[in-house]
Amino acid sequence: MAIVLVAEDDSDIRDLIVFKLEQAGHTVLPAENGQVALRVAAGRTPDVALLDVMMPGMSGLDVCRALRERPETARIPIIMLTARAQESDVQTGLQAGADDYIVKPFSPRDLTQRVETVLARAGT
Amino acid sequence: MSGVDADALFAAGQDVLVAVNVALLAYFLCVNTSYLLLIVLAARDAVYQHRRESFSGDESVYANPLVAPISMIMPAFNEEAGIAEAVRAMLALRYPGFEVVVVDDGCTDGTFERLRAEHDLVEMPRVVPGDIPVRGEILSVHVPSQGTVPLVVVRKRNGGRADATNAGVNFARHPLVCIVDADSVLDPDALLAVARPFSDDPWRVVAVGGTIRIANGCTVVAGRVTEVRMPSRWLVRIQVIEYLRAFLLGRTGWSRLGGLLVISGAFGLFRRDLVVRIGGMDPDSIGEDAELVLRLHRRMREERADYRIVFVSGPVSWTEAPSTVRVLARQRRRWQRGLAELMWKHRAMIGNPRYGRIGLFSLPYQLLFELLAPVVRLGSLLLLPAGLLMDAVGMAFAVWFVLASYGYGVLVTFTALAVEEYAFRRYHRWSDLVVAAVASQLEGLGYRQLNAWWGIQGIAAALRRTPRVWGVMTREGFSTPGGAGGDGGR
Amino acid sequence: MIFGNLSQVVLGVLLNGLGLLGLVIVTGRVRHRWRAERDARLAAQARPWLLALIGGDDDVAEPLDRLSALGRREWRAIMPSALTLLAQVRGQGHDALALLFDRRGLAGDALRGLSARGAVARADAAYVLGLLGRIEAVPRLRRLLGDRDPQVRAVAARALGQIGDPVAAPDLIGCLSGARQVPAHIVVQALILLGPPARPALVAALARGEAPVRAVVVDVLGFTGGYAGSAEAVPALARAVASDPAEEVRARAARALGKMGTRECLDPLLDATDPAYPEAVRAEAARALGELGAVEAVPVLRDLLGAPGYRVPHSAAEALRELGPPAWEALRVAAADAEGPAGGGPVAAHAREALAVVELRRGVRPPVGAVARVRPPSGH
Repeated sequence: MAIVLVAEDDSDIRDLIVFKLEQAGHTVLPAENGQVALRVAAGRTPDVALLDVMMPGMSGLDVCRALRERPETARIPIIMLTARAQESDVQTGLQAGADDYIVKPFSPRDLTQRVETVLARAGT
Repeated sequence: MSGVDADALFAAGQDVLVAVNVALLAYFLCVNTSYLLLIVLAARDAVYQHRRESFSGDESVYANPLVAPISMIMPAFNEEAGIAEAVRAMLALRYPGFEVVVVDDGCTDGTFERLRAEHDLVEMPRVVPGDIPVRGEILSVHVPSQGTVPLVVVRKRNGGRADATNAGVNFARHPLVCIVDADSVLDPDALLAVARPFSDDPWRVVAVGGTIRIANGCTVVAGRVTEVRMPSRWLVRIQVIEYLRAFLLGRTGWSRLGGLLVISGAFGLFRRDLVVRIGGMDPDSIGEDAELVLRLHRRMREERADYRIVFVSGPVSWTEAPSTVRVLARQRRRWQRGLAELMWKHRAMIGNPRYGRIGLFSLPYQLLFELLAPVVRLGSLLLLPAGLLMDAVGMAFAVWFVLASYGYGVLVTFTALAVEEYAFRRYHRWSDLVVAAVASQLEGLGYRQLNAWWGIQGIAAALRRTPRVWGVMTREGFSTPGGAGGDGGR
Repeated sequence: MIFGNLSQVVLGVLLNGLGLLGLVIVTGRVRHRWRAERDARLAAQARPWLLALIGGDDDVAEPLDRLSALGRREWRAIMPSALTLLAQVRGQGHDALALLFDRRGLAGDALRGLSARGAVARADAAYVLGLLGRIEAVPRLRRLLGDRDPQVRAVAARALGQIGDPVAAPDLIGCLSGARQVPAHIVVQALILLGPPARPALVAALARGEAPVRAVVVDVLGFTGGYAGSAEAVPALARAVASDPAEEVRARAARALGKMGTRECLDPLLDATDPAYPEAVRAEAARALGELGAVEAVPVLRDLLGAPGYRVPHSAAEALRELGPPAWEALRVAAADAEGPAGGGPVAAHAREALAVVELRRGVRPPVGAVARVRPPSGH
């Protein structure tokens, strides 16, 4: 089972994601903003990261870029969570190094499946 | 018979002093009452907003594909200490589509180098529409090598804040321009909230002002205020109270009345096409931000447009306030001088029914209770003792006087604090509350008098410089460069 | 004497006023904190059940029972979280949560609340019904679009979009004009959510509505027309570009055609670059051609680089930037027209700017370039 970094500023949604992933047997590293996410990831290298795009202070895209710059996390799969399904957003995300996109409102079951799909693709 | 004459003169003097002192008393009653009314209006507004917060749908504004994109304009002059963090924070704001335009107004320090290092800037050829005439020559345009970061850095020869802002507006690609200070720290949702009136009433809203609060004493991490605290110096603490009463509640009240005159240069959102149409900011004006808004009012009224200029109290731009007497004095002199010159430049509007509420109400109020306030305040400081000495007024009157000016003033400030506590709750510590209460008392004991003195100096400076400044200001005529189309409709 | 006594009275009033305000501030703070703490405590107890309800795969009977049995106070503490999650979650989790709202009688309360006396209560009810997606609320929400309170109208419009019943389309379009309006951005979002079934109503409004209404309709068509069966939308938009009385509507219609991205959009857009069209329309048409990705547009766009003013040539250059190698070649020719720092006039300057962006995207740093200025077009 994998270690999943979850960065999401809304505590309700974060708790739900954590609950769902732990239910599926993963270890979750929750973070309420971008800075915390990077600190957490520096302490314990995650196998996959789930990042909310719009977090105040440091956006999910910034976290994504920062993770890509670090050798330990340069290759881990990254999934972005966004409130907007606009092409331009997807493009920016992919350019920043994201692997997949989940649009809110999301289905919790779908979310775990996506996480597992990118993990399988990455061969963990 | 000289004794009789002297007595008659003395009696006449006494009569005059009585009349003047009664007038002064009435003046202070009016000032404080007007503030109390504005605060009550603001409180009603806050209650209304608060009750409807849960379903106001800010989230859906964020997800809206058609929300108007914004160009943030940050004029910078020698800001090397904070510029990198400020830009990073601006880029991290919550808003669906925006770009940041930094205008390096001929900096002589490392401002540009900081940005170049941070974003790996590369110089780009760029065609600029000469929508607004700019005085300082544009030298070069730079963008981050990573094309996804929506940042543009424009370097130009020094021309002052207004000129730099105008250059920024020229480079802005989006239909809304947000003018901010290079050192202001915005709340993450500030853009979303300040753009809200444009979404809700796109055909009428032409400008929106946001709240300014004082950042001194607050903890700022990564360009974001993480903990709000009262500053440590009394001089700044009093300013916190002052900003709360005048800039937050006062402007909310004026906005409700449809007579908002000032949008701070540290946080204002405008329709780009209209800023272009009125020729941008006036580089010769000292209070260029207020002048822009007044000129906007003037143009809209003259065109008989159905328009709105609004203030929103929720989102905050945190800004550093002067913490020494010397710097504060300079700031206040400049403010008052700006106000004096503004009133002079647009004197034709004052009391003119053609300009509606602005002409008949807002401007006369500004003239009477803002521009002349320092004169009256210092005057009362001389005339009340004079009245007492000459036996024109008794101690009882003096008590009344202090009650009307000082006591009533403290009451008004306390009301403002109560509104803050119920509507915004920015300060969390109990000690902040005690500090605020004491600062409210201290404001009337010295601070206001000092302000009045600096205000008079500002007015005097405006009067002295009159010929030169006004000589240059005849350039109002070229403020109509075609009005190149515009995206926002009528 | 009277003066003196009266001033003592006033002083007393003043001091009492200050004391009272101080008390109000302190009690306000104490009460707020106490409530916040209590709610946090209560919410923490109920929260695991809420997560189990939404995140639970199959068996949600227990969390459902537990949450249904919560007391009023406990429910009120957890309600904000429940509403957030209701808005952010789809699929099974959403259904389970909706079931809970039903069980607690909240859907029924909300239906009744639509005719409450207070505006806040009406808006609250409409909000919940929208999140729950209750189709039986549609007729009453449609009536609420004419409510006297602006925010009730806005919340009703949003709820109608979330419920997604296309019968509401004409009413939504109707509240773009008249005395009781709903902000256009809210109507747009609702109409987009209604999707293609709302299209006939939109096309009809394009022929009849006022200019601001037509502007919104055109935007929505651009967002919902891209899917199968855009047959009626494209001719309607093409007509709007060519002959709508309002310039703003024409420009937006051009933008919408670019978003639709089908082949039929090409010809109306090419037509709209003609000098006979207003500058704003031409500029939008040029940009839309870039978004459309039609290489056939390259010669036309190339010629537009020489148009007067700033907006049209600039949009044309940006469009060419998006159209790939053949268009880049055209840009290179234009840029090389007269080499030198600012030589070649505006045509070359616009081309150079666009090329520099192309190069940067490919990782090539552009050579140092000069800033060219274009005088604003006069006489507009």
